Parts: sequence; structure tokens; C-alpha cells
Amino acid sequence: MKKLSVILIVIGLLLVVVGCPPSYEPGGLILPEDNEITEGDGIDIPPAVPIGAPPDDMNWISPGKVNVANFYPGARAEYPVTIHNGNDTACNFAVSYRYPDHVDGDFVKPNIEAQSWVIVADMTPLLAPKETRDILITLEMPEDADIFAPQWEFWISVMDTSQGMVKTELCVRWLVIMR
Amino acid sequence: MRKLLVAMLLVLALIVVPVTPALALTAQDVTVTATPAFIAISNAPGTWTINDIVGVGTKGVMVIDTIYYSNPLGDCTSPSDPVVDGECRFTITNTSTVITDLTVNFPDHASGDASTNSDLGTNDTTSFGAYVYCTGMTYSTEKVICKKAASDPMKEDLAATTNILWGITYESQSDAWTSGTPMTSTVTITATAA
Repeated sequence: MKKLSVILIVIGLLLVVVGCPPSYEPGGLILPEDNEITEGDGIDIPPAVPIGAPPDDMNWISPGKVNVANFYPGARAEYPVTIHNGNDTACNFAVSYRYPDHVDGDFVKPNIEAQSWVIVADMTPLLAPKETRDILITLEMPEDADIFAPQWEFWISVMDTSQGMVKTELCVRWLVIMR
Repeated sequence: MRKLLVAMLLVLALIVVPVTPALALTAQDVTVTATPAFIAISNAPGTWTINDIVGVGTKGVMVIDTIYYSNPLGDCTSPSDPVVDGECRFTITNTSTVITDLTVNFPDHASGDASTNSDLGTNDTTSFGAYVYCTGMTYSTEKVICKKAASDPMKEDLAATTNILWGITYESQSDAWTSGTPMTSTVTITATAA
């Protein structure tokens, strides 16, 4: 009986000191319980300027795709789009929600309400010559929203508004998988 | 001793119980992942005046029910099969670090007769038709309808850091102009990660 008591005490102490590791460790960025990333959460947010930057004299955006998994009504996901102004002059950029022209395999285009779930922190940033800036994109699905598809996609459009009549638009694809 | 044992079991139960919801909650976390990669394209030139490259008839003036091309070899000269670089007005400089898809949209005109895009590639009364093509494409069978929105990709799976040349085909509306005022529109080429 004494041995059993000792064993139980040891087990108890181990559980208190070590705790239980999570059973699920996805490879990506895990949002905290409140589903919002803040500096105090201790999460490594990818650097604003990824490794192997393209020429300084071209406009570019990063990343090309954002993958959101285990999403659900009431949840919130955030990720910045990094924009670089490759011009020699300050330029206004238009950053906005974009209904996709085409979608990936099993993904579908969003319903009309989805536009109101996307918040762009700054829709008309003015970037200095050669400046690189992060603009935070937030996807916040209302708790009473219908899950219209298990997998859906929307785009974030970034456009240099100083261009001529034949313009280039760079888009980030957000691929959302509902839980 | 039994009392001590029961007490210890209770303590253990209290320790374990609060841990259980943490395990369930972790599995429900929203995950957000992204690969640090760039999309970087630019297009030149940034303008096209229909029938103004070489000019058929009055240079810079288009007539009704006529097919025009942004072809440096001739405004009414159809690109060949396959399309060669010299038949493309526009050059996309691509320094993206990922494979990309390119899509071109041609909205309705906003001034003059305000001709609208038929979204069919062919013209009609008060509407124009448009296609896009790119170098290497078999023009007669592979040209892509350029709609006002949600066109199919002109080029899929363009390799990283690979430039491409491209052009537009425009068929003017079939009925007579009424305003006599120039029409304009803004063509947008969109790049996305494939």
C-alpha cells in the first residue's frame, strides 16, 4: 500500500510539473484561444520581408496564398499582406477584397456576405519610393453566419493606382477550410 | 492509509480534470499558414489605342464591326499559330518566386458610346467582343475570351521569373456610333499564385 501511495504521489507531481502536451500540433501558425494574434502571445509571425527579396525596383506582394484551416462561424483569422512600392515616387495602392476569377480544385467562390467578413486595415496606403509595408487582413466570420461551403476562397487585391489603362493587379489567395 | 489513498486519488482527479478541456480546445484552434513567396509582375506598355499601332484607314480611329489586334505587325493582322513574340504588344516582366496564373479582364467602356463587353468574344449591337492571347499559344484554338470580369486565365502555371508577351483582340460593335466621342476602358491583368 505504501508503494502504491508513493507511485501515486510521483505521478501527481509529474502531472503538476510537466503538464500534458497537446495532442494536436499543426505545422502552421496557431491562433491563441481568443483567435487573435498579439505581440504578447509569443507566436513567431513570419518576417515582413521574406528571404530572397525580388528586385527593389518592382512592385510586389507577399505571400501568394494564405491557408486558413479549422475555421468556423465566430472565428477570426489574421495575416498581413506585404506590399512593396518599386516606383521612384510615392504611390497610392488600392487594397481590397476581391471576388475570385477562378478557384482551386475543391474550393468554391464565396457567397455575397463574405465580403463583409473581410477587414483591410488600410485600403489606400500611400507608400514612399521603395517602401515595404505590411497591411493587416482580418477574416472575421459572424457567429450566426451560414457555412455555405466546406472549402471556399477569396482574394485580396493590391493595385498600384498610378498605372495607365492597362493595369496589373496582384492578388493574395485566401483558401479557407471550415472545420 | 485508505483515507490517505482516497485523498490522493481525489487530488489526482482534480489535477487531471482541468487538463482535459485543453486537449480538446487545441484541436479546434484556427490555423493560419502562408509560405513567404512573392508575386511580382509589371506590364509595359501601359496603354493601347485601338488601330493606332500601324493604322488601317485613319490611324487611331476604329470603325464599326471590325476586328482589331494589338499586333505590332498590323492592327488588323491576326496573330499566327503559334503566336510569336513580334505579334504581341505587351510584355509582362515576371520576377515572382512562385508559379502564377494570369487573367485579363476588359470592363465595359465608360465614355462615348459606352460599348459593353459581350463576354462572348464576339460583337453585337452596342457591344464589343474581346480575346487575349500570349506568345506560344495556338491562336485559332486557344485564345481566351476576355470578359468584363471573371475571365478564364490567359496563362496558367507561368513559371517563376519567366517573362511573357501577350496581346488583345477587339471586335468593335456592329451598329453605328452615335456619340462621336472617344471611348475608354481599363484592362486589368491579374496575377495569382497557381
